[in-house]
Amino acid sequence: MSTISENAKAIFLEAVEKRSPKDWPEFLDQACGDDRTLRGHVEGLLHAHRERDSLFDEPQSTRDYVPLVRPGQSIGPYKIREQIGDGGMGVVYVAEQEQPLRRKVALKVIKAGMDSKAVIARFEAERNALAMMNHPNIAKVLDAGTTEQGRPFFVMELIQGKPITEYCDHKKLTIQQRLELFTQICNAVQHAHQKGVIHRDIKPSNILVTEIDGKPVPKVIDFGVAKALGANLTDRTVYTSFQSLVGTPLYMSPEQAQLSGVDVDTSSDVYSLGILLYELLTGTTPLSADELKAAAQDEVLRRIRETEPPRPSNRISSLGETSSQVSECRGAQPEQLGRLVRGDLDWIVMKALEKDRSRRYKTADALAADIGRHLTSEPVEARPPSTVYRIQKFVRRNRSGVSFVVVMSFVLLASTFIAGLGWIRAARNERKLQDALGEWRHELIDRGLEAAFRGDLDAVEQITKKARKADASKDWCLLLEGLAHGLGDNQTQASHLLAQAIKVNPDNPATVATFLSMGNLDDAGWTQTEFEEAAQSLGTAKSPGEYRSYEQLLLGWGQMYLDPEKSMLMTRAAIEFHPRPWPIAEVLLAHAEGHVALDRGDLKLANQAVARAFDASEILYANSFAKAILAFTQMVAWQLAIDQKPQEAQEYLQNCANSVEELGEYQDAFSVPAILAIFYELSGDERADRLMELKFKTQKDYGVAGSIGYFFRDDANQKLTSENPKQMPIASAATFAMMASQGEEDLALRGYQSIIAAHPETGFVLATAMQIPFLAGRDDIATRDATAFLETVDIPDFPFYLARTRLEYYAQKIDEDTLMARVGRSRIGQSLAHYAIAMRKLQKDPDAAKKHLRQSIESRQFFLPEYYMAQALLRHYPPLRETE
Amino acid sequence: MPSWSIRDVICSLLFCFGCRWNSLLIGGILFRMSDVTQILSEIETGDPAAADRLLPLVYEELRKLAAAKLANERPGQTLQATALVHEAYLRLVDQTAATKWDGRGHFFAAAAESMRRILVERARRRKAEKHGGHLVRVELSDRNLLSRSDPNEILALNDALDALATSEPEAAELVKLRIFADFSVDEAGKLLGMSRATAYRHWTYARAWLKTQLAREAASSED
Repeated sequence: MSTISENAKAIFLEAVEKRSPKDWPEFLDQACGDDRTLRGHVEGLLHAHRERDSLFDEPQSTRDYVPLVRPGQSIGPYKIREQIGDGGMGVVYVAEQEQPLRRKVALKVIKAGMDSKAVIARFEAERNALAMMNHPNIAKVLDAGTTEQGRPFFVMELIQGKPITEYCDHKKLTIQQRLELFTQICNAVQHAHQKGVIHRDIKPSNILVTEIDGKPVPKVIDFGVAKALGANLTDRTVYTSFQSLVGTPLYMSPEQAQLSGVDVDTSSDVYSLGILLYELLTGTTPLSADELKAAAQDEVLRRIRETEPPRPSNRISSLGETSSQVSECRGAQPEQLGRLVRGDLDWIVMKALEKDRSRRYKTADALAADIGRHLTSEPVEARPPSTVYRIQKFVRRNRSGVSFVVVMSFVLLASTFIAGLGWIRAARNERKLQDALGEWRHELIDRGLEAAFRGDLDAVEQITKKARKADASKDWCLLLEGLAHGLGDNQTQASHLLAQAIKVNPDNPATVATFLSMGNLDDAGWTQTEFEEAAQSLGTAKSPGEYRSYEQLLLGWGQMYLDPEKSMLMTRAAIEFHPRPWPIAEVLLAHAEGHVALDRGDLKLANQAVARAFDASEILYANSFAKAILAFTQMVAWQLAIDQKPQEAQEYLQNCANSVEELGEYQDAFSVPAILAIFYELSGDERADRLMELKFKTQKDYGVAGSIGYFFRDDANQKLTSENPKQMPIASAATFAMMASQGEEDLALRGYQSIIAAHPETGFVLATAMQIPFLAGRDDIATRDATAFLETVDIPDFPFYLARTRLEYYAQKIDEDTLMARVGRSRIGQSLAHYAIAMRKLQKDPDAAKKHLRQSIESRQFFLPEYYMAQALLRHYPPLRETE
Repeated sequence: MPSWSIRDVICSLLFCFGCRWNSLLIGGILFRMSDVTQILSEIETGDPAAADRLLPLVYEELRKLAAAKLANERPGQTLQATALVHEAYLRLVDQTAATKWDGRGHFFAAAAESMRRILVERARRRKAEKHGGHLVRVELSDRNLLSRSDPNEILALNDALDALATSEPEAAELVKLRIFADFSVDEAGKLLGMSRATAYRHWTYARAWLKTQLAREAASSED
């Protein structure tokens, strides 16, 4: 005995100190081997370890013995009235809200034993998703916060009703009426699932029934609360050693009853709905409250995981003396009730209560639909389990015993049937494992993306290490690392990793898209044209299941500077496809929306982008990328407001300035210097000069243009002066254009030649560089090169660059009117087109050129190099210089 | 018996030590004080028998303090076990001597053990009283444990601690300090001369072990 406890202690401590709870089951397999007693001991200890307990865990300072809150007291804008409930986890009060509107709400104060900060953080993370829920059978969670004593509280729509089981019994609702109520609940849960919210704690006390116009209306309460209180139900439910039951495992799904029970998804809610239905039909839960009290905690959890519940009809027949009461509450005779439930309803409940998630109803809707079928006497989807399935379950339950049987049978009969069994078992276990791994990978990639966009290389590397262990595909790991390097300002390493990723899997469009967005192509051994082609095919790429939403997201991101509209749609689609709330994707969506808003001149969309970026950056606390995008969207809104709501423009500017101020902390992070430079430039802040001097060491307006061309790299200056036109053609083009406009035509033309020689097939580079010969007075060179280019290369025409259209105009294949007609209503296009026309007219008709330059500036496309170039030319170029 | 607050005690003690006239002013306490101080330094110099003499003194003092407080408090009010333990420390240990050696650990270990015995005693009495229909209104309360209405819980914890002490004596000592004298795991570890890592190791295991033990106890007593 003592050796067992010695061993158990050693294994327990090793697990707690050196392993993450995720790895416990695997570690226990390995450490305990076949010793079930030992394993039982260790599991008991680990369980106890993970549970919080007021006796052992509360530091003195957080304990208090006074009531949680007192009637009359105010918590924030809420004035506490009477107490209306006292559950295991918290006490519920009616409260009056004064601001922003007067209403009565329910306020639930959580009892001690929770880390309030973590609770609130988890709630905030889900706030968006919760806000999106809008269903007549869902009571909204409105707010959360901390009381003065540091306890978390939740504010909810006030529902004055009874728990559903009580209501049904009180009103003596028939089975049919109960089923109708239950269907409404399924629909509500389905709605939440579609918005990415899992309840995690569905039970009668969380479903209140009120009467509206005499009709019962069920309302599901506490959405988002269970998750906020801790991802893992096993942490807070079951016994605490002294107190009675806190929370209840009666409605807990098998996956929630696991030691590493963080693996909860929508089907866990389906399971809990199944238990609820069970109780509505039979008056008890499969594992009765009495049984629960009698059994030790591990035993309870084990039963939830392993014991097959009795069918509802069997349960009814074994009710004994309570059966008449149960039947009476359902408006039936005892023997009648069993008959009503036997058959369809038995199988429907049992299908919802499958231990194996993949065998449950896929959605709450599917459960509701089957009940609907039962009510209209159609054949239901749920069926009694087949013989094969039952044998298979037997095999799983009695693995060791069965293997003996298998051996014997094999020797005696060499039965192919038995072999078949083994195969089924292997395949099923494999699939289960794959499902679990897949979800884990998903989570890892989610976290990896967040860290990558923040430029946090360390975090990303830790995550990819785990992801590799979880068999995440290699190219995705490389991609995440590359992204982190790139956004963390190590472009060379980023290119290197992304190039590797492309080699590993040349067909992953997301890698290509990422590469595109990050700029540097040489290390990949790709030409710009190849990339542009790749980019063009991106939108149509079909991604396989598991990585689909990620791929779509990065594809959308890759389109940001090619076609913002498309980028916006793709990002939206990615978010919709993703099973969870996805703040980092919301940031990218806000980014795309910002560009689209600027392109369309749509202030409403811009404001929407600001709100989105704001929410996401709050959730992604201290994420420089999210903050930069917030500042960007605010800049868009401000610029649009100048024309559309001039009296409010100052306010917009102020919001913008506040965000920019915060960004100052992250001067070195990806795209931050550029956002700062642009903001200072636009707001006429003299810091623009200083920043330019500091970061780009070049004349301000050209510098901004050049920096934009180089996608706002920090090291733009170094590359600018090293005159490496191959690596950063747009920035170089801006520099040489500046030279040309200031009388150094020969030097500028040589620069121009070197740029187009380095990018012989890249349309947008040529279209941008083309201004150099015009500014140097050599229209002929421009026409010649544009014509030659179009003859040899077939290039795509992305709205953001309009390379093809512009070059056709430069080659004089189309005239001004056609050019403007092709551009249509895109303000980016108009800006580029006017700039092109100005170039063409620069020498012959400076006045017209001036007019077009001004028109080019008019729509404030502050994200285009041309916007700054046009201003610089109006200011500095001698033939155009505007006299004051 | 005059009712005096813990502040009075501390002030008078400080004053006394400051004046070095302590023997004149609080003679009664001083006997025990010098006794306890003496015992603590004997333990420090390695006399194993000294520890046995310490416990009764500390226990006696704590019990008196608790009784005095309870007699003077209004019913329904609470009394803090921690305050009691620390008050006893101030009363029993010569503070000028205490700074010279590290006898605090032994003292508080004895105090925690005393506190535990007081609570167990009280729980037994209450259990008996409950059956006799007489309910004590005054709550002795510090940890939630101490205010729990069911005396069985305290008795169960007591048994579990005893069981733990047979296989894990050090861990049991730590738990006593943590629970009955309300020290943090860090502080308790320091008092027992453990490294921080060791203290947490003991705590982690003891906590889980006790909880499983108590859960089993609770389950079996429900039957």
